[in-house]
Amino acid sequence: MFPSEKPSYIFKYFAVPGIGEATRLLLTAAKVNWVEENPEWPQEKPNQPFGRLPVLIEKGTGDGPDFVICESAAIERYVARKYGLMPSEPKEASRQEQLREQIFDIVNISYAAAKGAEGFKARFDELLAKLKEVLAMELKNNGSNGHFTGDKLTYIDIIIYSFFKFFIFNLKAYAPEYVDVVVGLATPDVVKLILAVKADPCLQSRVANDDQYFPFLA
Amino acid sequence: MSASATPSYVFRYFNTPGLGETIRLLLTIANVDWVEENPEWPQEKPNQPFGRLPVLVEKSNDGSSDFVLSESGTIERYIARKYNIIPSNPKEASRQEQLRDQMADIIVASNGVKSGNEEAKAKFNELSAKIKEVITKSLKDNGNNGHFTGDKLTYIDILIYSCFKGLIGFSKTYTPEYVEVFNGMITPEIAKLISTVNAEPKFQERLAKDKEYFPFLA
Repeated sequence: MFPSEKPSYIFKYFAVPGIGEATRLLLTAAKVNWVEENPEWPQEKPNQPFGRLPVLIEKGTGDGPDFVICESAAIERYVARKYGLMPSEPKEASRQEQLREQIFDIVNISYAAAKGAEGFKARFDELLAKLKEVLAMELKNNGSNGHFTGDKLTYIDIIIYSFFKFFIFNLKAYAPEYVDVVVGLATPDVVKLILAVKADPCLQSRVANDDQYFPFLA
Repeated sequence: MSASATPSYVFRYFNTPGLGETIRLLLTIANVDWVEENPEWPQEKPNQPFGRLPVLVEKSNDGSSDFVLSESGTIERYIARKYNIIPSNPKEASRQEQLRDQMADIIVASNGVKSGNEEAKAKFNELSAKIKEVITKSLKDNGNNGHFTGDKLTYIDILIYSCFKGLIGFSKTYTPEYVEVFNGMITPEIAKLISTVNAEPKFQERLAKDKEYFPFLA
């Protein structure tokens, strides 16, 4: 057997969509060999570089050491850039990165907002409204073709898809009163993007059963 | 006045270190023309792309439209990559990016501490202990030369400096009991990095008064 030219990967996370879903889809779109591990938690906490998940291990080819990365955004960008899923034009890449950060600001604020922490609820509402506006505008500016940039699947399409998939699922558990608001962010152009990602040939192994996560596709 | 080959920048943020200090230092070391604006707040909120600060405006000199970027992490990476302040090796860049994200998590957690949220406090304590350990080890592994990577100033040196400055500054105003906690995170190796960044010739004007944040500075 010839040694593989492409590295293979171990993705460590919990057995839920969560903030790891985007990385699963990126690895799938990258067409690399990868496996998932769901470490016993919290027993395996001390064995992670920052005591947290997700963690991505790139198994070295030949004698090289493994490369270990943490932090979901850093993992995503590493995989996306390495396998050509991030636009190569720096401004366009930054545009996508900024939207990812906006989206995750919303996720991070949602916990405090759900608990009614002072100021967080107002901020959460504001950010959700802004995201709806930005998504609608950007997708329209790109020609309402189911993609954020150009006419093929890129990093942020996967991020947007993953966001709706895991966030609605999570909100049902800890902030059900917000499900409708987030569902409301799925304007026709957003739905088109989600359907485009779901139909992408390179993702079929992962997204075949995803209808259950998108109430607005019913 | 001859036309500059590089673009010029407008950096919009509040008049505080906060999440903007890294960007200020990156722009300074990049040797570009830049100015800071401190918009009236919240009056100027609707005029920002995501209703938030910081915002970076890259003004072109060829008549093309301005490029506007939001989200502190994205702005940092854009400048750091464009002006070669972050290593070009993708693995080394990811190592720096993941640490940035960790530090940002600490800043977010410290905001939660201010609100008296118990969960945020616990998370903050855990993250800050871990990051102290991780940064110190990385600095030792790099030969304790005042740099995180190699032997010259890179993105993450600036980020570590700015984050500590921001955290200490924030604490002095809002959570004075935490000033000692942050000081306690500054191991000798981290202090050496802070001193090294502070001694950078291009930063002399900007960081002249930082003994206020770092009493150990000469």
